[in-house]
Amino acid sequence: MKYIFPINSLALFFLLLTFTACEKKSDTGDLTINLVQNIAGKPLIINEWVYQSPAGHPYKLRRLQKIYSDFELINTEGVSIPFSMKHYFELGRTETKNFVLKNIPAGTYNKIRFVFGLNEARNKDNAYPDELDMINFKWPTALGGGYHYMRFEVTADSMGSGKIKDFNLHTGATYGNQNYLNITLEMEDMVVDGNNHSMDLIMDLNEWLQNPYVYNFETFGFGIMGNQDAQEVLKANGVTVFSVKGPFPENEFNHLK
Amino acid sequence: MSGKLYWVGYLVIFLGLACKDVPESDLGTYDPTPYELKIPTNYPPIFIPKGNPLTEKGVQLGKKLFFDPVISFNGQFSCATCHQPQNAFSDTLTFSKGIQGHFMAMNTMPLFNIGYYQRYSWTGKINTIELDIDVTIEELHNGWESLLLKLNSDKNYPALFYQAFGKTPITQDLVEKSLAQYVRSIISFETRFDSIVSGMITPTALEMRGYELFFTEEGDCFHCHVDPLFTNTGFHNNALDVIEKMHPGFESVTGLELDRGKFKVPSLRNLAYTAPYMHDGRFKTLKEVIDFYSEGLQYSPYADSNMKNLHKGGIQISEDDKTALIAFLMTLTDKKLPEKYVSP
Ligand code: HEC
Ligand code: HEC
Repeated sequence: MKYIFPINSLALFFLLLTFTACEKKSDTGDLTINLVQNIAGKPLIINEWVYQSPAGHPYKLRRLQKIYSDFELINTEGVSIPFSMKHYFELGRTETKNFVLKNIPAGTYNKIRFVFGLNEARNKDNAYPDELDMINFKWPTALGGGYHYMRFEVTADSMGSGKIKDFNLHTGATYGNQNYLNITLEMEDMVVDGNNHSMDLIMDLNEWLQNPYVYNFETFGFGIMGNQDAQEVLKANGVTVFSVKGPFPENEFNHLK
Repeated sequence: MSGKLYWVGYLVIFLGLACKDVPESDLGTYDPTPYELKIPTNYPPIFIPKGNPLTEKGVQLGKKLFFDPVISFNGQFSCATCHQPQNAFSDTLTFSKGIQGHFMAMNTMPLFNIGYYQRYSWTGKINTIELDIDVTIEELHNGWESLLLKLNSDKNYPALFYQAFGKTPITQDLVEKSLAQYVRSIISFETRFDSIVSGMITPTALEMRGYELFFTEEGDCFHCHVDPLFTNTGFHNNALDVIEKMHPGFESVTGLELDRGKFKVPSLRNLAYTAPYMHDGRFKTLKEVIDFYSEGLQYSPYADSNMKNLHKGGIQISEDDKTALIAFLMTLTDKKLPEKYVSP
């Protein structure tokens, strides 16, 4: 029996060795993207007369729903890491406020790219038959099919006419025109080496209504799903809608909050 | 085995016997064969709670209970008194008469495709079908205890419940489960619209015009009445009333002012059978409904932003277009529904 003790110690030693070997920290990291919205710097509140459109109309926000998809992170050598995904956001539903890009390889990243809406390959009739949010986001076949990219709905004081009217800025592939946006944004260097990060992806809703074209609610009226001219204006304006804050290493970011 | 354990064994057997009015052998055998829902492929996933999967026996038993006036204390009301199969499981009254002789506060809802909802009743005050049945029977039978006594001493029900759930005696939970299974099994989809969409038949020019109005922002019905169910299963305010007359609706459930006057978006399938319309049955005909959406919207800040031309009273369509819209809505009639879920 006296041999048992040393043999067990040896086994224990090897066992520990295997564990430590396996435990070697992975050097990939995650990036949490928080979707943050404002209107000309003001925070979003639903149904309050606190905003003014660039064309001069006082308005209140009624609804905001939108889709982001196919993110890419680009490192300092210009290599892109793609994430095949889509994310549905709905104002008022906390669980849609953020999402995570997982297992980003070690490296230094300084650009982020994404599709606002859905690209042609994704945007097919009934492509997501099992997802309730997507079903309710369908773009009718009669108007080109697929899904909405965004519903930005306001009630505006139309001035001149003295009427309070609703305007639904719904974007999508009107009659098959691909109106989605490819956005690339510079960001602070994100050094991934086994650590996680977090960043804000910001949308200023008033920027849909200006730069380069002033979007007058009255010009395009209540609904624009069948109006490619209106879609073109929003598409052109969409380029300046987005900005980023961060990324921040996760702990530091949490500390700041 | 020690003496102590024998005692425990005797006790278990004794308690087991004490709980049984009928020997198990007379109850037949427990048969959990799953019930296969017939659902078209373009329908979204249906919600079936984990604790109450549909079984052949469960659905069959639920069906029997649904049509059996035993569930009312005076033996005069079954579920089908108000939820009549020939009317897509609703009735033709503005308000059905309740068991105490009073009128119900809301229009009786049709019962098909309701496993797709996440909340029940017009205001969404009830979370599951099981719970809806709980409160309905509570009212119809002046409480559960006397109903369970009746069912447990019936000559058929104990066996049927045993075969469906493998349990005895009959409990409130099992009554709710079986009725909920039957109600969930009622799926409606065999309509002219579905045949048109699958390319089997072509629509008339009138139906096609109605389709166009419905599915573009000309009529703008599709944002709430989303196909294929023709409801987004949510709650919206469709501008029925001005503030002074507005029922709180979904606000009475959430407590949020933003939800004032919101009601469950009803499916537009089977409108041919579900008149009168809206939560209070205020419109007797579909023409009245379309007139309302065209010229009758009532302004309030709570009306949904998808209510087109709220400031002018509505979508403002011609009489011809109204006829077209109605023709399109009539393509959503499932003519087989009245018989399909009734005969055994
Ligand atoms: C006296 C008439 C009456 C009887 C009897 C009756 N119901 Fe109802 N039912 C209604 C009314 C009215 C509503 C709508 C209630 C509301 O919105 O407040 C309703 C709603 C429902 C709903 C909710 C549907 C939805 O889409 O949200 C279910 C489920 C239901 N009933 C099942 C049953 C079952 C099962 C029985 C038999 C146990 C039954 N009902 C008996 C009148 C009745
Ligand atoms: C903003 C969402 C919304 C839009 C847009 C909308 N509806 Fe509705 N609809 C509702 C709601 C909510 C109800 C139930 C309201 C109530 O009972 O208080 C309803 C009820 C109905 C009913 C009565 C159904 C029944 O069983 O009682 C019909 C018919 C109907 N809508 C047709 C239409 C048509 C046609 C259009 C387009 C012209 C349309 N709806 C546009 C939300 C909407």
